Amino acid sequence: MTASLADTSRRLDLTYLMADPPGLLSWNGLGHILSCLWIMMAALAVSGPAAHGLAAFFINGRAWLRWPARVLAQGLAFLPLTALALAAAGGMAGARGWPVPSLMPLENEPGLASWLWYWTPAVTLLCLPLTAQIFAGLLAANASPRRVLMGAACLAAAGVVMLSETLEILPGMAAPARALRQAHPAVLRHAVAHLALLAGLGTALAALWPAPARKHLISAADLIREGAVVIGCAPWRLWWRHRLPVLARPAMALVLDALAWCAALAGAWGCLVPLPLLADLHTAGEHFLEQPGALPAAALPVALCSLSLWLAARIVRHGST
Amino acid sequence: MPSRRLTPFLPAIFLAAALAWSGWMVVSRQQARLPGEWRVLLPGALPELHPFLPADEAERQILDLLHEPLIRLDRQGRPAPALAEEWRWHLRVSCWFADAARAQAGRRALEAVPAETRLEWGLDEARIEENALALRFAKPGTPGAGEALRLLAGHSPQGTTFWRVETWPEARDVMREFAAHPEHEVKRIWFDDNGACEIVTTLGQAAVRAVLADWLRPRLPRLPETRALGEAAGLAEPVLEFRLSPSRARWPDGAPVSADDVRATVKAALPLALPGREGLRHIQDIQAEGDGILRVIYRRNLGSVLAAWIGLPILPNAGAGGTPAPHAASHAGAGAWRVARRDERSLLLERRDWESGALPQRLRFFPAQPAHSTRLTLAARGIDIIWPNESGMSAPPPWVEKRPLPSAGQLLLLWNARSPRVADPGLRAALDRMLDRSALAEKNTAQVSDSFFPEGMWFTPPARQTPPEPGAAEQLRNLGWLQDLEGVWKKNGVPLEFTLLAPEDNAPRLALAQAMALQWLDAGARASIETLPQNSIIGERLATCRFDAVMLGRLNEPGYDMSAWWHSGGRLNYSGLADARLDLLLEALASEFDLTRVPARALAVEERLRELHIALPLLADAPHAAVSRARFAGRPGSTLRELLSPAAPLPPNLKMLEPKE
Repeated sequence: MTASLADTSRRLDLTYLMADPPGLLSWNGLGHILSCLWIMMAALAVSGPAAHGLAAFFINGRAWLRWPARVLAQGLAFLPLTALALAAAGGMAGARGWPVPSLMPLENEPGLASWLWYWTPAVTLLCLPLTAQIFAGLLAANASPRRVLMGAACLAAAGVVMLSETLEILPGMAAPARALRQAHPAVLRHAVAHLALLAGLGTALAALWPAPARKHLISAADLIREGAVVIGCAPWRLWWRHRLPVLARPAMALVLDALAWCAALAGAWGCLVPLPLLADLHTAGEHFLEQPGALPAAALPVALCSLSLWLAARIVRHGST
Repeated sequence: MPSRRLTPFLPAIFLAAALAWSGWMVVSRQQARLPGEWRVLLPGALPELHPFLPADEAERQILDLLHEPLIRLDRQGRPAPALAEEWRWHLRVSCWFADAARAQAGRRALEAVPAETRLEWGLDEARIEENALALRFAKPGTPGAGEALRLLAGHSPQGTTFWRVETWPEARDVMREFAAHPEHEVKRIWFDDNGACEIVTTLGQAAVRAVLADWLRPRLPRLPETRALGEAAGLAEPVLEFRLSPSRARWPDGAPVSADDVRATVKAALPLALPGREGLRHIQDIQAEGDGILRVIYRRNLGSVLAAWIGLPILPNAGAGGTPAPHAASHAGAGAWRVARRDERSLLLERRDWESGALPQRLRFFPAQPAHSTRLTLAARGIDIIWPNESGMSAPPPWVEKRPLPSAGQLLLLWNARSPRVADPGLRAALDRMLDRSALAEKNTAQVSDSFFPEGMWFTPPARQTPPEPGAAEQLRNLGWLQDLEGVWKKNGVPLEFTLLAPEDNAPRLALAQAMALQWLDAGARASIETLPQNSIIGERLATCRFDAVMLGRLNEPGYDMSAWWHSGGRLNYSGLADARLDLLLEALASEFDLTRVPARALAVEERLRELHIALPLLADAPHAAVSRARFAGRPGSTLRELLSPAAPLPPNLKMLEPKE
């Protein structure tokens, strides 16, 4: 009989979803991409130096602390960003009654303070997993700062989409995020394109970071190919018998790494939508206003699961963590 | 060097400082929010603010602040003064004579009547207008009018004849020119929607036919059918007189609300065929006497037409065009508020008399937000009123209070009296009793509707104390129905079954139909649900009476004339009901001018409708507003107008308590 507000909200969501998404090259699409990029770059600009500073503290002389610090940092990086964002919003609005302007219909008063209050919480939230991820990457043996930054840029792209969904800082990006939630085929392609473009741009920018020149060495594959030619054997046969078993370990490690990040992503989405095995997380996400602290606690098992998979990947790759 | 070690953390420190500073500034600004602004979260998008066609209750309440009607309903659902501080009915009888001398003679004859008799007749005034005598009686329908005309008959008044000319819309101008011609002595002319017209003239019957034929033959492609409707000594017309409030009936520029404005408003409203405003169609003329008196002259004796003015926003006359542009959001109304600003994010209303210092001075409306955003805004105390609100209100936060809003509509179960399967009123009564309306209401967050009349009006019959009635089973047994082993009622081997029409494009109503069908099935009656688009239900099935039962939604309108629904000749009488006694009761109700007698007449209609079991009032919606306890402590009501009215003083023996938050 009566259209409830929930119905209205759903209707608005649906209308928004069914509307034509802004094209990538349209002004709106370009504007959203640039906004996302600036948040990503701001977060990377803060978290990159901070992670370097922290890593330097551990690299120079405190080797025994390096492993636990790295594992702890990686665990923090796996904490779902949506859980952190919802907990922060719940803590600000629910416990303290502070405004969260991006989530409220209230008008922003013009001025620097309002502008900063709109953007800085999102940048700060994004900095947390990025700093942890970069820090953990830098503590790895033979770490390449450029590769670490490129990985962090991918994480930042996913983080911006998550923040758009939870904090709605970019209304234009909320549509792709909702598309991922509701799996609407018409907008899903657009969402994936947005995400890929963001990640691509982020990694491209991160790739500008100067990398040390590498010495030219003959690879193991080259040696095998030359040896096979010398003894008159087909190179592919030797590669199949001797080289493939060696390559299987990094491949399996890669799969485990991917599973770890998938679990983290599932945790992030599980705060917003009901997913199998993550009912507690979703329930905590629904009560983020009343109990904001419960959400990170509920997300901890997911982070531990991701961390376990990540450690397994290290064991498979190197024979130890 | 410690300073060099800290260098990588400088961006993070800067970010933390920016976060802390901006948060402190924004939070202190929010806490210092002026008490002069209320923030309201709407149930949907920002409203269009069409004065005559509000999309929902929220828009209606906003419009109620921007515009003023002549009459509005008070909290008890009674007509209350708005622009008009007073209104009353009287009867005007016009009697035409061959010349002014004869009219004067007629007037003298009336003056010769003893004062007691004139008082008994209710004759207030007799005035000469050229060669006509205009009599004013205290109330319409008074028998004194007939007595006075009988007395005047001895002074040779010109007879008045009523004619109907079946013209078409294109012939309207031709008929207007005919009426304006002085030789035709046309006193009144009236056009129907289809272009047919009725005229009142003092020419004799033979003369009218000849004059009409001479006038129309060269001007129209064919002669329309013409027939005389009747003849009388004078023309009696009910007149509704409004006395406008000198303080309130003013536009923002200080100009008084005039008859031109009211006339222009009616002109703008008529083409829209507004529900509940059918009474406007019976207006013959709108006249003014000075600045403060407005007379609306009607052509039919229908007291119920008063309801058309209740809540009808009066718009300023646009001037040359004569018709206001009602859809313009910035259009100035006579209300105490005006639209100050409107953009995509909000709508801002300001008090017109903000210098008075009354609080609040501003109302800011925001469009609906997703549910979590609404909850967050509520938690941060960023909104004062949410409306109507059901989301997140199952466990409302302690600083929010739910208050009921007026019901906007009701749902009827309508039976088809002409359908052989449900033609028996006794069978319909049994089927009605099989339904558990309370259970249906609970599922639909609605309330049980108990009347055929709109909820909460001054004429709505009170919830009746029902005498013990036989149950559905006993009723059916009395009618010769028997239950088989499966519990299905049968008569002569034919099971009790019928079809219930439900709209396929209205999911809640479809679910309700299914719940009703289940209740009937449990009681032994088979109801099969037939789904059609809502427009098809009305246009194809109801209009042609091809259904057994249907659920019909009806808006709550302030009018008490129910003839359209239940009179045998009613426009919306889809049930095919034809009951002579009900027709008489409905006619008596529609023609009642005395508002104090309306409730009794409405009760008689309601009881007759219940006896006929032609429909069952099912549910009425039960909307709520959620208001901030701190802001509205001591302010009763739930509508904006009620909340904006000054806070009621507390009884002296009660201590003022601070709201607990």
